[in-house]
Amino acid sequence: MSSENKLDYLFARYFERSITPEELTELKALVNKFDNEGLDEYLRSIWMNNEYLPFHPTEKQKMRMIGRIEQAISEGKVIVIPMYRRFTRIFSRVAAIFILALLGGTCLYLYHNNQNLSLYRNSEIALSVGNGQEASFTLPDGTQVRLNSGSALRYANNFGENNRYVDFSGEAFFDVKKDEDRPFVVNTKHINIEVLGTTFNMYAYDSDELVEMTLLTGSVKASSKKNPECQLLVKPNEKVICDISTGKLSVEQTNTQYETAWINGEIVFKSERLNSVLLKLERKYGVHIRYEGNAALLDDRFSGRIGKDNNIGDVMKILTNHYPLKYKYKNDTFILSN
Amino acid sequence: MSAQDKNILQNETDYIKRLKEGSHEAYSVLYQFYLPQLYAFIYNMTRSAYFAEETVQETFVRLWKNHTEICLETSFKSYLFTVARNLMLNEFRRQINHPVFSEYVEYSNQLQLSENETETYMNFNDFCAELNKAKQKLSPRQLDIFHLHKEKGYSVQSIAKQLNITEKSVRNQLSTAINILRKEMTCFSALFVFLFLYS
Repeated sequence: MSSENKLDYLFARYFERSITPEELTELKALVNKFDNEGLDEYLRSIWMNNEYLPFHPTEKQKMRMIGRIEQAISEGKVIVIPMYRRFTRIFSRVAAIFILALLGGTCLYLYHNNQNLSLYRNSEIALSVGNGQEASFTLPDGTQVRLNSGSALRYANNFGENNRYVDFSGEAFFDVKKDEDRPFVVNTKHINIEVLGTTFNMYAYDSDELVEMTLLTGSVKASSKKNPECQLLVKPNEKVICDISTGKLSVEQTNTQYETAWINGEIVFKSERLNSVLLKLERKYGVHIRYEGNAALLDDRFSGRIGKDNNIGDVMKILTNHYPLKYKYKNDTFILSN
Repeated sequence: MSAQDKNILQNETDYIKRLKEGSHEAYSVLYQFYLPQLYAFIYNMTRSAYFAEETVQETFVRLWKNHTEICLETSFKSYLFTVARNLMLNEFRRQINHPVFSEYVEYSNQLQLSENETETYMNFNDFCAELNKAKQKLSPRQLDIFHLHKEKGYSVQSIAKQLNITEKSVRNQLSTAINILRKEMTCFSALFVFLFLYS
């Protein structure tokens, strides 16, 4: 049987739920051999011809999906700020702050004048900070936000009018202006944070498996998106960690220094998988890192502190001293190999 | 197929044309019709209720955002597949390469559950998360042995040799580890027995 016919057969068995472990191993090998384009026709024909696959969604699931679709499409126009990584570090920071200030000014202007600007009523302001950059910003209500590399913040143009609601992904330190009538809500992919007036650090990259919020002062209500019954009140020097696969929240004591080290330009790794260390370095320094060494090493736990005066070259030296690795720099990419 | 569904299929071209022009009403008729099918397809492929929901949402949101690009000449159903394809294939690749996915598929092939139980019992992600949590109750030695044997597939003999202990002690540690995990994972006990005591 050619591998094409074989794929047809194996996918059919997989969907019929009659595939044997041996056949699944074959399927795995073929799936890994073909790219998405190559697998397209086999799956497309199953999709086109099978209208009655089992396990349709329950009513509850259906309502949930429809609710989220409607919510997502009703969000207004988004202003996107493109950021280019190639700029030198200083220049790009200045540019980031300049653009943010400009937008902040625009936003304040609109906030004070928007009674007649119905056109802009439903639109949004989006702020994004590229890798290798950081930025500080003041929201219309006086809340200070410090955004770490690779983060994005969005809020409605009428922010502060009836509510204070922001969508957020990435890492940021929030110093929220107190306003008992309008709680400040940070909405992320996995958890929601509701506060009145506090300081806290939020770590919630969409692409990362770790989602956590560390509270420095005040009090905060955290709730899980996936598991809405799961709500917690958090006190200072505690952090909430969200398990993204179950949506469960848990609380841990912390002295907050580790979580807020990035504000002083440091990175602190505490028994962190090498894989995630490399990801954070890419974000922080705005570089590409390609790992070609031993795959098992990516699971190794790394601890260490990288000071604010260290550049990416210093960090590569630290890593290659610590591990049996070499690095070279080619085509804008650091390559780590044995 | 209900009379209403037949009616939708007959007038599908109309709805699609109106969606292309930006009609929210046509959009909502179309997604209500295709949502259960698309969910079932992605669910059967990735065996994850959570992921199927996320992908269905994302697909229909993208459909709306790109409604002007809909091509009236090609099949709408086929177009939906194109929108969802990369999202679900990437997840499928992640699942199929997971060390215990094969055992999980064997289990889910055999399980006959009423559909509203699938959210709890059929979710591979939930199972893995629970397993990881339960593993924290093991001693480091037990964890090593469990990992080498059940996830990396090493034989008892080769583990004994690697760790420089007797085969009997590997077997003892392994059965203690499995007992601890089984106790921790009451919700998945059926799956657990299947996965780890079969061998």
